[in-house]
Amino acid sequence: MRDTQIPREALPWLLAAQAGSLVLHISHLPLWMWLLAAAVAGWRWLIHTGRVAYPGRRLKALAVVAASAGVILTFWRSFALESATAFLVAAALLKLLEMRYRRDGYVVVFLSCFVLAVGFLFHQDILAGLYGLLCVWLLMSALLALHRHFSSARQAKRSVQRQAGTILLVSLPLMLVLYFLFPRLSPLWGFNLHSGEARTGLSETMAPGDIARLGQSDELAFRVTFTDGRIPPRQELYWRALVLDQYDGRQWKPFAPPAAIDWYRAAPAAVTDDRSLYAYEIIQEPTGKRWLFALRGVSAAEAGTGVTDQGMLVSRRPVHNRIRYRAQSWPATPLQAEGLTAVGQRLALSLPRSVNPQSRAFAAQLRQEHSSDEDFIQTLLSYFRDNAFYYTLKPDVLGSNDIDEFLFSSRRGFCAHYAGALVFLARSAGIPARVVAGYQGGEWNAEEGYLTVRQYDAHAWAEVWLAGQGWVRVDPTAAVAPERIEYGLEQAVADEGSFLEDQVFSAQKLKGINWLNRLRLEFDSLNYYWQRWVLAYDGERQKGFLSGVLGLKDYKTGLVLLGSSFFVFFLLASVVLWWKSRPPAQSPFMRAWRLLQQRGARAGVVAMGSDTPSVYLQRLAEQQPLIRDELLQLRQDINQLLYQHEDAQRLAGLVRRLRRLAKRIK
Amino acid sequence: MSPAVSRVLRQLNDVILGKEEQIKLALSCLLARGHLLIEDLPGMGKTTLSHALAGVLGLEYKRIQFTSDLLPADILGVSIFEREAGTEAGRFRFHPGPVFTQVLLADEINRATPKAQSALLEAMEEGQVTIEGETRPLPQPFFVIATQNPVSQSGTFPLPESQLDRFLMRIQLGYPDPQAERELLEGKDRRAMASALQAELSNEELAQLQQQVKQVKASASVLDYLQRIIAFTRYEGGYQYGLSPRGALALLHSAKAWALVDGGREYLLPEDVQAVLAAVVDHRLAEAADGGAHSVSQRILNAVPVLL
Repeated sequence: MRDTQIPREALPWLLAAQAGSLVLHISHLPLWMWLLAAAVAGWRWLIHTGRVAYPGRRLKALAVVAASAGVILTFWRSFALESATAFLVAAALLKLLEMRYRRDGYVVVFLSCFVLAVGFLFHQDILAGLYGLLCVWLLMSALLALHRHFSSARQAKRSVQRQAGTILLVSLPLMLVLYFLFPRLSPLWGFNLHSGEARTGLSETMAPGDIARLGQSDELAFRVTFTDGRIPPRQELYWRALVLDQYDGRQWKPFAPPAAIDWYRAAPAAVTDDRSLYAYEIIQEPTGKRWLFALRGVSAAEAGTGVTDQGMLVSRRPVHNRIRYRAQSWPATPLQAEGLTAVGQRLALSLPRSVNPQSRAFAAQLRQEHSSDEDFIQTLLSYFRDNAFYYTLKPDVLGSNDIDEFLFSSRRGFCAHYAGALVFLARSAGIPARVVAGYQGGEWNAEEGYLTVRQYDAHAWAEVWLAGQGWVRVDPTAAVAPERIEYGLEQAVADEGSFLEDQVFSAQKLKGINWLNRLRLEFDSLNYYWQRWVLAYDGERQKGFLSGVLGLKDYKTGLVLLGSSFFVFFLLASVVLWWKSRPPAQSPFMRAWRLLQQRGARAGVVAMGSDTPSVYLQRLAEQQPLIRDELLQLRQDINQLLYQHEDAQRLAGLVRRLRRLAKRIK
Repeated sequence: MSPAVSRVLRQLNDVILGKEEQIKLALSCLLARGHLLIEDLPGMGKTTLSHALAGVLGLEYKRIQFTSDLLPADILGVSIFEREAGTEAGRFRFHPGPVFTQVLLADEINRATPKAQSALLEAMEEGQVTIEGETRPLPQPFFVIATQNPVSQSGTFPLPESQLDRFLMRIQLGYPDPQAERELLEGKDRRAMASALQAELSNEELAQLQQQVKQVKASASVLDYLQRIIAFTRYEGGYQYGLSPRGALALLHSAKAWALVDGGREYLLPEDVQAVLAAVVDHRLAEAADGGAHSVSQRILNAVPVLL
């Protein structure tokens, strides 16, 4: 194969396409990678303008070694998606330095395609999708520009960017067909690619300040739609994620992984008219953990999910990708009302010995006054309500006996402080209690009918076990700051002005301006539909779509449909192409002339490609002595009318003569 | 046919025997105001033809024999310092080179180095030469008739495409047929006959003929045919480069001149285009692949329909 130089006008396209493919990686590539990108692209541009030469073999080897070392050092001991991506990007960038011929251009374009696709592992929202389309257009333009040749004048009539746009538009139907019908082979593609990126979200341990930190993040946690149309009141929206039943004097954490899990078994969903049942569907952002979010009294309704003995919804595998699952809850169901096991009882009462003596004493004193468990808890709540406790996103830093300090001196705290203190006091008084972490509330999008729960909705509350009632939710935060539960965090800390104060550009801050808020909600619902219909379209939903919308029984028919739509597409394309390049309609004169030539050919006078009318008629006249004179006269007339005095009308008059003569050829 | 043209043709045919076709092409080329390149082996009558053409058209002509050590100054002229008699003072005086003429015979143009070739080719394109910063117009009309040996011969510098493009036509003479050869052997010295030719045209008559060529009518059908040919060379024929717009104009002008010279017609026939096609396009088109048995122009003729 002869090496073809890269056309000069292709280089800007190639550089732009490669730069474009990197944008989705902004969030995780190290800074030096950007310097490398700038240096390499700059160098290649200087080669283009003729100021420097291609780097030598030794320099290239050095660059490869240095880049590899850079990747290894940057991601030392944390091999994950980011490090692999960084290595790929470094390799793609260095390829620019030896991009000499057209085939190198191909490599760069294909690498950029791959880099772009890898970017979707990190960003999947609708903006990333649109941006991806833009990049595909850039890449397509680069590919077309690579094929420009200075002599191909026909191509030059159309600019590459327009041509690329046309190609993408034309292939749109094919893309949709592939999207809907191409088999989604989840076992092969569904790697749980582990990302080393630190995620904002609940963690397995809870120190008092943790959830307050979450309060500063407006990242999406999950979205909920209520599939039955019954929506619980806002103060009932306690999304349980995990139970923290062990206290080490500082942190709350789960005692052990859940022992018994009741996995979902595919069973026909009982059609129920139960007014207390809430059926819902959740699209959850990746957490890297196994817990899922659900209301109280949950039962699993999706393969791969199950319910623990503590009444929590969990997933079989850690959630590394965005997932979508159904669940249903009867919030009124009592939890373990029949009684606690001995182990459970001991666990729900255990406390480290030496910490928070003041609180223990306080609990003991209250206990003497209130023998009933319920009374005791109510007293605690009124204690929080009646004393000058303050709900804040900026709690004071507490010392080693943090609950003592919190209860009796600082009295400033976030939900975790209140929940922790209440559970501590309850346990001190011999009442089984535990902390539950999750989210509370969310933003209801009334127009589209779904609930958006963000990280700042993170919440912690308490559950106490009461004889005959089982585990009962007790939320001390509701006693201190009822507006937190009624209206959400923003209202609760409105006086303090600390809501998302670190995030200057957060869209959540636009709530005050009416039309901007509408815009924000519109965009949010757009993203919601994107997640619901595009990102969550997996093999299961494809099956549902095939059978539900298209009425297909099995995959085989789906494949046949896929194949036939390809066939139809290419058939249509070829018909269009043929139509555009079909020969122009012939004039009556030309049809008559063709007829004459056909008859002549039958008589042995075949028209050569180079025959002019007069040459052909001359030959024909010599071979047809009977009509020789007419043919020679015709020859003279045609020459006159076609070439000497153009006269369309008289030329049309020749048609009949031509036909008549054609018939007389023997 | 105009009497002047037929007189010129008769005179030329007396000198160059059995080459009516080539003579008509050469005359058409000059009437279309184009430069002519004659390519053939040594001794085929190239120089005689060019001598005869200049003589019969009544034009002043000069001749340069191109050699590998020819310098641009040998073609264009040079300024020489001349001292006034008896004094120290003096001034530079320009001695015009052989290029300052109406017909320039550039014999064996591919023997000279590209430097010398380009000096001439500039003059062909611009109709003027710039020497030592001063632009000097050339006499009108200005024709270059260049001859060259086929490039396969050793010791030649083939003209690049851009320079070949400046020649309106390239013709080949070929061996004479036996009858013409016998006449040649029996007859007088052809070179002497060429030098002794009487001018048949005045400069005014020549200009008038050139004007007539321009007025030859090209009908839509002929222009369609011509454009089909151009399109074929660009998109289908498998040539490295198609005909440029200048090539298309060259084809049109040559065909018009041919219509006048060959038939004395004032309108174009497709036959005229076909007649000049080989002379006009063969040297402009390089074939990407081996074209087979047919020449470039023959392939075009066979592939492009005259009427569509």
